[in-house]
Amino acid sequence: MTSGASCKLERVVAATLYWGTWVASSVAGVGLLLAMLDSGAAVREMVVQRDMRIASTGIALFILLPVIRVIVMLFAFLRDRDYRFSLIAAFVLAMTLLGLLVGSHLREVSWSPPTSPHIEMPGGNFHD
Amino acid sequence: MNVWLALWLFAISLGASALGGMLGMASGIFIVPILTIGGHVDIRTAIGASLVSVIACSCGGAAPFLRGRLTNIRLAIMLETATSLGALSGVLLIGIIPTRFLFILFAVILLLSAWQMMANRHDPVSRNTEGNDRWAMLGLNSSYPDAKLGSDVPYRVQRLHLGMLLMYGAGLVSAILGIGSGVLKVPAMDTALRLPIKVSSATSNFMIGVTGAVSAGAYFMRGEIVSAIAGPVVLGSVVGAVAGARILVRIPNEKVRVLFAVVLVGLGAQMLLRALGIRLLEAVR
Repeated sequence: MTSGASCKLERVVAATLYWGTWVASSVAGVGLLLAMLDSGAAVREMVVQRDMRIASTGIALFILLPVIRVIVMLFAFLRDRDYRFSLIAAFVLAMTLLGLLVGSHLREVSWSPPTSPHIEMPGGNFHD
Repeated sequence: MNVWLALWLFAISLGASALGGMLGMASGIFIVPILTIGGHVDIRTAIGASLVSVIACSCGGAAPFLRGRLTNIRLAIMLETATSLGALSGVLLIGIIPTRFLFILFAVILLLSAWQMMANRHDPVSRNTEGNDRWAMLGLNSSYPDAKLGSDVPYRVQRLHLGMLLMYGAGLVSAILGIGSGVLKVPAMDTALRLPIKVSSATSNFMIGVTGAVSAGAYFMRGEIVSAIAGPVVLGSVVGAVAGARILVRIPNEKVRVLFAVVLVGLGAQMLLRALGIRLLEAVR
């Protein structure tokens, strides 16, 4: 695996993760900052004026980043005609997509109730 | 949103991640106990936030290891089939597991981690050439640059089946508790696969992003990830991971390890008490 092709893949994956982290962090940071500025006047009341849509997008980007990394690897293996590892990457990709699918189906099922007091943040919860 | 809560979460995560990074641990193992014990956050909300921070630390820290040829990406994607399947199983179990059991399981993992922290890790002695190479056809064997020797050190992946089995367990525990499951991955990498420590650390850090994405994706779609809590935790963890990697060289390792083991035992005891319904340090509210 010290072949040129594999080393190149490592560099592409490294760049994807590095820049992806920057983009996701920036979006989440800007979203939180905007939400903070909005509630600056009402710090003690724990009131939310603006929804957390931008911050949630940043968090979604973080969750998608490893999925994108697997897609990059899948294409690299396909290009190298390494079908065994293409299949392996496709399986991992399928697991991440199944995770999303299971999550959206579990929405209707209630999980066991929490034992500790939940911090109430009206509007802070992301339910979209 | 509450500005002070956000700043507190940011600071706590930064500290946990920086300290964890010094010893090559994911911050998740600290974040969930701190949020539930210190911050009165619901354990499922804490797990959701922790999972995203684990992903962020994995992605944010991967680049230097990849460029330094320490990460074995073929082995990583191979083992990810097991960790992602484990994570998916974990997601399906979450609805069934009672909250009390989550606290007990977390306490056990914390105590095991403390024990593991005090045990010394050694590079496997016979890592090359001897024995039959059952997995040669997969092209998983590789080499890594050793700064001390000034040359590439070849290594061979062994007992892949046992490694995969342990990795399935690591994925399962990761999804249920929102942690990186280092406590299960270390024996998988060291004892089963017999990888050099540097390769093992880099590869398992690389893998945890995908493992976390399976369960975090499910949590997110279910609406269990609270942005007002997960946001500051994730940003704090990323900044802390970057800072931790820089301080790594300066502090004597042995003292930090003892301190960490003590902290882990303390948190484990707290989680155990919580499982029994006793709250010692939580009379504030």
